[in-house]
Amino acid sequence: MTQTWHADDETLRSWAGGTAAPVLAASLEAHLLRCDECRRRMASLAPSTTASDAVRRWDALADEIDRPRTTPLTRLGLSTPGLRAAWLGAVLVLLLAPATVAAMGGRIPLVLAVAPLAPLAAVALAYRASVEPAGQLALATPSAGLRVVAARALVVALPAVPLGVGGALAFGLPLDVALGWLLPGAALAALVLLAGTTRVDPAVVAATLGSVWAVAVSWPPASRRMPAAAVVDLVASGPVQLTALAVAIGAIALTVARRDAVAYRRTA
Amino acid sequence: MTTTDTVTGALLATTGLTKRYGPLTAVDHVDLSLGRGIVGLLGPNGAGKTTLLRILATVLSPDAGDVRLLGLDPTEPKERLEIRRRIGFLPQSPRLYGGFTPLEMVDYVAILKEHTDKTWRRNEARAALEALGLGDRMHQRIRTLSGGMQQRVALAAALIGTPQLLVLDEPATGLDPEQRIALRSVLAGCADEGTVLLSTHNTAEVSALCQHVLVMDQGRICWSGAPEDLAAAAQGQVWESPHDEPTAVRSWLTGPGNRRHLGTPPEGARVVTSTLDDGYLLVTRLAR
Repeated sequence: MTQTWHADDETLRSWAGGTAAPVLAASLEAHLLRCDECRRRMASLAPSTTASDAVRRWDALADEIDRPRTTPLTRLGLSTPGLRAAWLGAVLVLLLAPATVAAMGGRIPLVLAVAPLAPLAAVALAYRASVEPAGQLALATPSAGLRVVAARALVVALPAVPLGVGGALAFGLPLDVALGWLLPGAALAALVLLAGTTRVDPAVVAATLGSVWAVAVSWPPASRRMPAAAVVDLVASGPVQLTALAVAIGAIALTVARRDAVAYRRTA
Repeated sequence: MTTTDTVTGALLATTGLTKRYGPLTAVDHVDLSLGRGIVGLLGPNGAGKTTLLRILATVLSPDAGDVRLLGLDPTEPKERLEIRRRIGFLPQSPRLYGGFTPLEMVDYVAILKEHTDKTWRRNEARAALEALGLGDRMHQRIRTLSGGMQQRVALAAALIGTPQLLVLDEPATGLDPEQRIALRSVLAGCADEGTVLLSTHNTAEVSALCQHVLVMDQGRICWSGAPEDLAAAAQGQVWESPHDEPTAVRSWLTGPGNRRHLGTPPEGARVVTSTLDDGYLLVTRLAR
C-alpha cells in the first residue's frame, strides 16, 4: 500500500524508546505495519533497539490483539458454570413470575412467593466451592471467605432486582407487589448468608426458608383461607416490611461479626 | 536453618498442632520451627501431610495447638489476613477454571491477593508463567493445556507477589523431567526470600532441592534433619542379594536377579551405601 505520510525521526525514536504517548504509539504501530519506508528508517534510527526488544514489543502488541478478554464480572466467577446458571436462574425467575401471574389471571401472590427465592438462591450458590475459578488456590488469599462470597452473591442478585421489579410493572402488577418482595427477599438472603457462618449447609437453609416462604404466601389464597389481595396487603404492610428490614440488617451484622467462620468452613 | 528447635523469630512454628476428623487423628501433636530455606515433607499416603499443609496455609483450622506463621497467629482474623497477603499456597490437585487463560488465572489470583495495580499484576503474572516455561501458552484456554501445564499455572498463581512463605502440596506432580528442573530453579529463588515447605513422594526432589527434610507418618513428624542425615540413618542396614531375606524388615527388587534389603544384615551380607529412599523407608518402618 502507498503511504501518504511518514513518521519523523523524533517520533520514531520516542516509540523505540518506549516514551511515546499511548495514542501516538498505537497510531505509529498501525502505520509501521503498512509502511516499509518507516520500518527501514526505524531500524537505522534506533541502534539501541535490540532484536529482543523488538520481539518483546511485537509480542506485547500481538498479546493485546489476540488475548481473550476478561471482564471484572468474569473474574468474580460469573463465567464459571455454577454462577452463570445462578444468574440466569435468578433472571428467569424474576421475569417469568410476573408473566405467569398475568397468564394465570392475576393470582398476584405468586410473584411474592417466587421472587424472593432469586436472591436466596444467589447467596446459596455463591457459597458453593464450584463457583470459585481458582479452586482451593483462592482459599489462602486475603479475599477468601465472606468478601468473595458476598461479592458473588451481589453479582448474581443485583442485576436481577431491576429486572424483577421492571418485569412486574411491565405486566401491569401493582407497585406494592412489584416492590413488596424486595425486603423479604433481602431478609431471606441475609439469613442464608448468616447460615454460612455455622456448620449448617447454606443450601439446606435456603431450601428450607424458601419452601416455608413460598408455602406461607401462596397457600392461604390457594386454599381460599385468605383472599389474594389480603395476602398482598399483609406482605406489603409496614410491620411485615419493617420486620424484614430488621431481619436483613441483623443477619448481615451477625454475618460480618462471624466472618471468620466463613473463611474456615464454607468455602473449603 | 533449624527445624527442631523452638526458635524465636522462626517464619513457621507450631506447638502441639493437632487436627482430628472424627476418630481419625490426621495431625497429631506436631511441633515445628522453620526458618528460611526449602523444607521437604515426605510421608506415605494418608500420613497427614495434606492436612498439615492446609493448616499451615490458613485454609484449615487446627483442633488444638499453636501456630505462628511469619510471627503472626492465623486464628486471629486480622493477623490471618496479613499472613494471607504474604503466603502462597499450592493445593494438591488444584482444579482451575478451564475457561480462563493462564495469564487471566494468575491475574485473577493476584486480584484475590489484593494487588490492585493492573500493570504490576500483568508483569508479575507474565514473569511467573515465563519462569515456569509457560511463556508461549499464556493466552491459551486452560482446558486445552496438559495436566503438567495446568499444574504449572497453579504454581505460578501461588508464586505471585513473592510470598515469604510458600506452602506447596506435591508441586512436581505431573511434571516431566525438564519441567522439574525449571521448578527447582524457581523454588531455589523463592527460598532466598523466605520459607518454602513442599510435600512430595519423590526423594530425588528432596535431595536436589531441600536443605531440610521432615518425615511424617500417622499424623506425627517421625524424623527431622538434613537429607544426607536421613540417608545416613540407614547406613549399615542396607544390603543386596539375589534372593529373599527372611530377617529383612523391607525387601524390594532393584533389577533382574537383585534384591535390596533393609534391616539388620546377616553375617557376610553385601552391605551397600544407603540412600535417601533407604533412610525414608527405615524411619517410617521404625515409627510404626
